[in-house]
Amino acid sequence: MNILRHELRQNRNSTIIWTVSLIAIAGMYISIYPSISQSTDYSNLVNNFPAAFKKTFGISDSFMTAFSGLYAVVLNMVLLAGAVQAMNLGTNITSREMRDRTADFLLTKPVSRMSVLRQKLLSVFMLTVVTDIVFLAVGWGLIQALLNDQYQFSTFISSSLSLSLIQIFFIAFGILLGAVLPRIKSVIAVSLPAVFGFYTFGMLDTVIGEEKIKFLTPFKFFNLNTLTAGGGYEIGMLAYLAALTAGAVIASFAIYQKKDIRAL
Amino acid sequence: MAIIETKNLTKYYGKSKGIKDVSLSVQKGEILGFIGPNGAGKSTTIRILLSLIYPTSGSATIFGKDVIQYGPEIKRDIGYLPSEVFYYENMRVKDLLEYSASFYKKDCSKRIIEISGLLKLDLTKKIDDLSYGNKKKVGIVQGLLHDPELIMLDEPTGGLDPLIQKNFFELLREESREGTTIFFSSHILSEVQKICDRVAIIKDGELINIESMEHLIQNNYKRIHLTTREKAEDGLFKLPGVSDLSVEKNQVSFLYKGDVNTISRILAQIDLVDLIVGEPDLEEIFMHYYR
Repeated sequence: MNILRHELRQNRNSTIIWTVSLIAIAGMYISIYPSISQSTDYSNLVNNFPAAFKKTFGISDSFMTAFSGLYAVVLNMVLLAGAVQAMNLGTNITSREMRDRTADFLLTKPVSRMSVLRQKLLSVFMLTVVTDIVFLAVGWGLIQALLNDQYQFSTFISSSLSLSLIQIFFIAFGILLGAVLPRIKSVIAVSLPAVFGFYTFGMLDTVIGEEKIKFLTPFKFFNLNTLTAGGGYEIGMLAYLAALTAGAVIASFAIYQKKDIRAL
Repeated sequence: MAIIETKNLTKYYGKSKGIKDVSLSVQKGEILGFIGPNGAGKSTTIRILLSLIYPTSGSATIFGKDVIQYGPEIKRDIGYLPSEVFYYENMRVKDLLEYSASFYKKDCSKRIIEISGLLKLDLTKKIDDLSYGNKKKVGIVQGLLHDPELIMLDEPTGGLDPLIQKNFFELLREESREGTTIFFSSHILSEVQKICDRVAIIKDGELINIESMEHLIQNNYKRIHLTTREKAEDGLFKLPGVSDLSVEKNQVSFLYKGDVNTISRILAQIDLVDLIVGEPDLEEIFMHYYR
């Protein structure tokens, strides 16, 4: 488990920064909610936003009338950021040692490549869980402090779990890209286009059709407005997510096992 | 039992040849020099042995075990020093060495102090702040700290100053005396000459010769210089065993490998002004193979 410990240490600072950022995004919106929810000016402003703009940010009709509407918008952005974090972590699993040229060091130690990946995957999983737990705790704290009991704890938890779910997808997707692409010079140059690509693609729902698009981008695996209003997940979509994730991880492990670690 | 044994080891990177049909064996306690110019296939061979890359065909065993199937197990007793060393950012030398040691199920702390003392390596420094030569020392320590039975060195001396190089070679000789096998890849011949028992010469991905160092330098090859009274006929020297022949007016120079009687009979036919028969250095032998 020495690799696990090493990985946790290596990613500690970036995880702290990401966690703080996620909380900052959510905190900013949650904290202005009490004041904007009572302002008719603001309400009119939002109602007059173009439809496409509203859709981009997940603004529903209930945006101004209930906290659930605002929280859907908050989650929308948190998911986007969380996805980038997860994708960075995932891509690093299979590409970082090669990029930093430390693969020669690590892979000539008496440890199998499978064990290396397992430990790295576990470390990424732990870091994401920590991020999400801290996010949930602080988020709930803020809601409690500012909204005095207007929002249900169970709905908060259940809807916020969409963050973890989307992160799981992007970790797996990142691992796969890291394993397949010969050499990734910059993780962010891969993760940002991938995440924003999926996100933007999700806006084509009217062109492609709601029923089809939800299988094509993780940002449509679940409807945030439904979740924040107390609705649940579609079991079928969760199973689909699990299958994709498992498939990507298994394929990545198989590819990585056979990959040539070329001299530089 | 051979410590390293390769059979027809072949590696193609797509269509370009890495190595082809490399078969060699290294015995216990031996220091094998593996020489060839850059791009000849030295690193490819080493990387296959360490299962960093996979051979296209052929097989390799270390300690009698297949390098792919038993990779992690074999590596418990291998120390490897890559030609270029890169380590994790933001780590102190000590942390890196401890991380390295954590892969072996033994206490390496004493050895870390011993070797870094010998190489004058400051353990408290951050790796990012080290010079190239000092990073190389970190590489040496991490490669040797677990007392491996086989040491693989891929052009290990670049960046080391002569004094440290001397200490390093002394360290290797000491390891060798204790039965450690050393696979020493290099394109610097003088260092191979200093330390190795045998040399394997690789060219364009193919192993062209393995000989003992003694044999290679002393017994076989002669560098022969002649000064003849009249202009020499170069046809006279076109016989097996002669290479690197140059005939200019009355100056003749060539490398000779073979029976000295044969060449002395030929020399007897010539009216000589001067004759020098010397030991070629490895450089010359090497050049001859790479012409």
